[in-house]
Amino acid sequence: MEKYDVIIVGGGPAGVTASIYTARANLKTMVIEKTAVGGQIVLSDIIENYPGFPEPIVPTKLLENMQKQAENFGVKFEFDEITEIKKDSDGFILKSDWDEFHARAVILAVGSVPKKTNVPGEEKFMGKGVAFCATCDGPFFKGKDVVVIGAGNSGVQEGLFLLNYVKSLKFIEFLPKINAEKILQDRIKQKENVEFYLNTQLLEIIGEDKITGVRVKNRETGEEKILPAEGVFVYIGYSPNTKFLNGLVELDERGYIVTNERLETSVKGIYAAGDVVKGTKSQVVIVAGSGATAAMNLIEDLEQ
Amino acid sequence: MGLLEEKDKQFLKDKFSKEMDKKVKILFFSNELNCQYCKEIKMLLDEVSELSDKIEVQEFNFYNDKEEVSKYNLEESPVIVFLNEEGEDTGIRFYGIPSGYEFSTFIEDVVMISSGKHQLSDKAVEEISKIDKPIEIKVFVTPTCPYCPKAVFLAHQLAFINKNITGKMIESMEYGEWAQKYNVYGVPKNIVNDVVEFEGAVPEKVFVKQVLEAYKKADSSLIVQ
Ligand SMILES: Cc1cc2nc3c(=O)[nH]c(=O)nc-3n(C[C@H](O)[C@H](O)[C@H](O)COP(=O)(O)OP(=O)(O)OC[C@H]3O[C@@H](n4cnc5c(N)ncnc54)[C@H](O)[C@@H]3O)c2cc1C
Repeated sequence: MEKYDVIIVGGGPAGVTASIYTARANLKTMVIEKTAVGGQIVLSDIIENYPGFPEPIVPTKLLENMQKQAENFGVKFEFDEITEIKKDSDGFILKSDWDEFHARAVILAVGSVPKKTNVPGEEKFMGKGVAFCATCDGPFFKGKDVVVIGAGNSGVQEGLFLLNYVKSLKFIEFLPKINAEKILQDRIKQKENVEFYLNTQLLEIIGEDKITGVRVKNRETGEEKILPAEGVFVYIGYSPNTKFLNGLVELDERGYIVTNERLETSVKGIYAAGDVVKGTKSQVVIVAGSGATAAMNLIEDLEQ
Repeated sequence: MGLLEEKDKQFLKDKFSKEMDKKVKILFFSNELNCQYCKEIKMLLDEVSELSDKIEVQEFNFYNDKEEVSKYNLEESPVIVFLNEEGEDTGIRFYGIPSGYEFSTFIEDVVMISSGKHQLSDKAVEEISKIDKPIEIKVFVTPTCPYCPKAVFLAHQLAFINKNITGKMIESMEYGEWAQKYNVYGVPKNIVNDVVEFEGAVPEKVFVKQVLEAYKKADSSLIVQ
């Protein structure tokens, strides 16, 4: 079994930043990532609020640079999914389906995944018209009518990107108001082929072989309507990737990891960083700081 | 003007000289009738081949060079085929331009074929080596999909270690008809022997399991090859 000083689970901005700090402190460090290094931010087409870059940058470029920086300090990146973490005499065993790794200390930077709507039709059309990644799947909806579920920051930002392709965009928002930052609202309101259905609940995604529309209900009047659409992009929030931990560390009622201000979890030697930590605001600059904080405390503790 | 920036060229040059060992032959099948990006593909291949004397590029015409087309079982063009130094087919294919995120897969492929080094686990190699019937893995992508290269590179690595496997990247915009036929609206979408379908950039084990699933179902009559 390969032994490391530090294993970081999750290769988003929190995990990669943490790895830069631990490797630079001469700790043998590995980052394990199950999908692709970069985490959720690579779903976005641009990032324009990460300091130091006056022009909007492509998130994958930013994360590639972070990874390169980490690799320059000797971090190993592994493409695998951790399914179980167990304590042993001098640290932790991290298991994937086919491998086992050993670490003296662990940082959980597992982030979160987009929530599903769980309405009828969503499962059936998953990857066949229901999508969560505008940059990946936007090109398939060229010239089509598309709905976006959720008018928060992610929904509006990705909606702006989808407008490069689609014929029309309808936002379905459960709350009575648009919840995105004002700058994003101003931008989307300037567009012509955009409509907002506020205070509106998605009931069903309909279609035989292909999506033909969505059934929605106005929450005030109770009136139901079918809106024609061929694509449905879902941005209704996130849920933390903590199921695999199986009760190992303390979670709050929504599944986020509870830590102290040093980002230690309820188990000594396991730290948490990034979106997955209870109370974290989901922004790259914040989770990068969170990764650095967890790493610096871990370094202090291992040196003792 | 070239497609690659000077900075990237220098980076690749260094990478190739450090990591490449044997020669790699790249065959490009173009056509002049309906190929949006044939010019760009050829340009890209030429620019890359200039960065190492171990990379050889040869262009064929999909309609005229029938012998090669049937030798490599090519049903459409544009398509890129990778051969190793001995001229053996590696089973690695790019249907459409390897640009955007897929350019990195293309580079990984070159280095893998040349160095013989893949990134699969021992367990995956053991399982995949058992496959003794033709397996075709299609991975539908868009150039703007950040998760897709993982899936494509997995398919290509499996092809690399087992001659019975062909791993095809398919660029969904260039191959719109195929994308429609397989009802692709989300990428990466992986289809094995047209009998097993799954979505996403999944970890190695899940990917291998799906390929083995298709292998179990592999009745030679089902496979169009
Ligand atoms: C559409 C969209 C637009 C956004 N726009 C902006 C923006 O403009 N500016 C901004 O600052 N922020 C933005 N954000 C928020 C930002 O993406 C997140 O705050 C940030 O990515 C969180 O980083 P993280 O490292 O904590 O977690 P994540 O980015 O979620 O990374 C966690 C990683 O862990 C991996 N993982 C999970 N479980 C396991 C396991 N068991 N084994 C191995 N690996 C595992 C996951 O695959 C994932 O890659 C946006 C988010 C979205 C979705």
